[in-house]
Amino acid sequence: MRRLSLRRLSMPAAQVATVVAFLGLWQWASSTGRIDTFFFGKPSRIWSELSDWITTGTLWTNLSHTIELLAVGYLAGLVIGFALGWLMGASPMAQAILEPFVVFMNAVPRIILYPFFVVWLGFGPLPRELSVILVMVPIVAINIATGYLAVEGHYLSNMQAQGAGRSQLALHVYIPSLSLWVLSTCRVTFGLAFQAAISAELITSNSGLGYLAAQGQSLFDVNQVYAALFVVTAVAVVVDVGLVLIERRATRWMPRPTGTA
Amino acid sequence: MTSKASTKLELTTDGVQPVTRNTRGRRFWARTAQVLIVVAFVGAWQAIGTRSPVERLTFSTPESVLTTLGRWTNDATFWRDLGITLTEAVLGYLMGVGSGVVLAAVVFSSTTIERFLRPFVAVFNALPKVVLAPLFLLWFGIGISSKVYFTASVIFFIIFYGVYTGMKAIDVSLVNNMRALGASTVDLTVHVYAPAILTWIVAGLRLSFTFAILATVLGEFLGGTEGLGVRISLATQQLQNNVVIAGIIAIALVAVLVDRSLVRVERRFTRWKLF
Repeated sequence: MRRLSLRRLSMPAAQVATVVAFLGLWQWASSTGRIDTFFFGKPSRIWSELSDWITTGTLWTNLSHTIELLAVGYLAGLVIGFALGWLMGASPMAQAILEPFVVFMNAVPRIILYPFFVVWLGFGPLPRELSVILVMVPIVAINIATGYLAVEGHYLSNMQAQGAGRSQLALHVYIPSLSLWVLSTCRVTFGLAFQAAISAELITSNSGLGYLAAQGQSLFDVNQVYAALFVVTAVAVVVDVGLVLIERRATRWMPRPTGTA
Repeated sequence: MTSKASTKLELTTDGVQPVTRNTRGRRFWARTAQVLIVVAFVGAWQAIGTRSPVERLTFSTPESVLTTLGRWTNDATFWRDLGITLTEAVLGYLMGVGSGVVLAAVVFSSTTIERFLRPFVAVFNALPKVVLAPLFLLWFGIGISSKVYFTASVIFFIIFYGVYTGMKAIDVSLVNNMRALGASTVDLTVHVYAPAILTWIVAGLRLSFTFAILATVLGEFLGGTEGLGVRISLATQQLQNNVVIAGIIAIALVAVLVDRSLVRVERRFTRWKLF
């Protein structure tokens, strides 16, 4: 028993040791001038940058702006995409009309539209939110339209045979089964939304985690870029773990969604 | 036997359906509606853009965007910019695919390495890779190389993760059977692993190439001297929205053209998997 638990612990220990050794080597090489700190930075400087952000409140301001952007963009994108997908699933005519537009939009890397949104809507949060929404909508719509048509026919026939109306079908069959589609694709769609949010903040903005990274780049301060990278990674991992748990509770049998940013 | 077995069939989302007068009518009305939507959109845009000088500056007009695009077709600097953006995207893509496949193969060859790297792979998979762009611009400057390496890094993660999960999904009994029949590692690579990897790369080609174009243009937005992204970024600063929109349309057209041609490649390679 003892040996078994030791063996089980050895892998995490090796992983932690590698990270520590890497950081230590990095710190040593940068303080003895073996690597150029202008390009590679220095772990202790990254750490002091991070603690600076925490004490001055920079971290919370920018973190909350990014989270707000993600929350608004993700939810609005879901709702609009859901509605559009539902329309396309329920009406063959709507599907025939809208499909080429949605497929076209899905093939375009939509984040490149962001500079236009900035000129159009100014430097507030609106162009960024629109960017995230636009990345989400085609993917969600395509998934929902596919999901709508994949709803088991015998559920519908059974319910109709027992006298269910359209609204009852929607409430008891379509909404639950489509919600499952949304849940089972949440990791991918959230990843794309996060990608879009960070891209928009990188290109032009005055707040957010992407802004901190871009600011570090323009100030030639590689430590600041690393610090921003670290926070983004932490957010990504925390959210991803949460979404894995959600996704696991949803289904496993569904096909993976396809989509691009 | 009917002499005229001419009931046309078409593949729809409901399966194979005969083309009836109903579907033909629907297709006609759908086409009409699409044309109307596009015409209404362009018309409304032209109307808004010509209403006042401010609105002309903000929205530009379809007319002036078309004029800009038309001018570009005769403009050698535009083709040069387009060439540079595509070169960066293709070079980055190839580097990313190459390094991703090699590393996935190395990782997959040893369960110890695989278990060791698992948490690191998970972290990088969750990370929005675009945030690495400023780092690459600091490291490699604003020339072509920073975009190529940045694109390569984005593609690397997509391909590595895909090949890695793809190889994990290979049927163990297939490998064991081949081993039992005396196949060497080389045989396995040629007959099992390589086809599996190739299938995955082809299946992920469209998704990953769109990401390559996106990464390249994003890198150019953040800093560069040539390329379509630089052209758009300069025009944004000069409030020349007709140039911004024309540039976006040019990139969108390239992306859609590449996507459409990759659909054919994909169909050719994955046909056998579907049926």
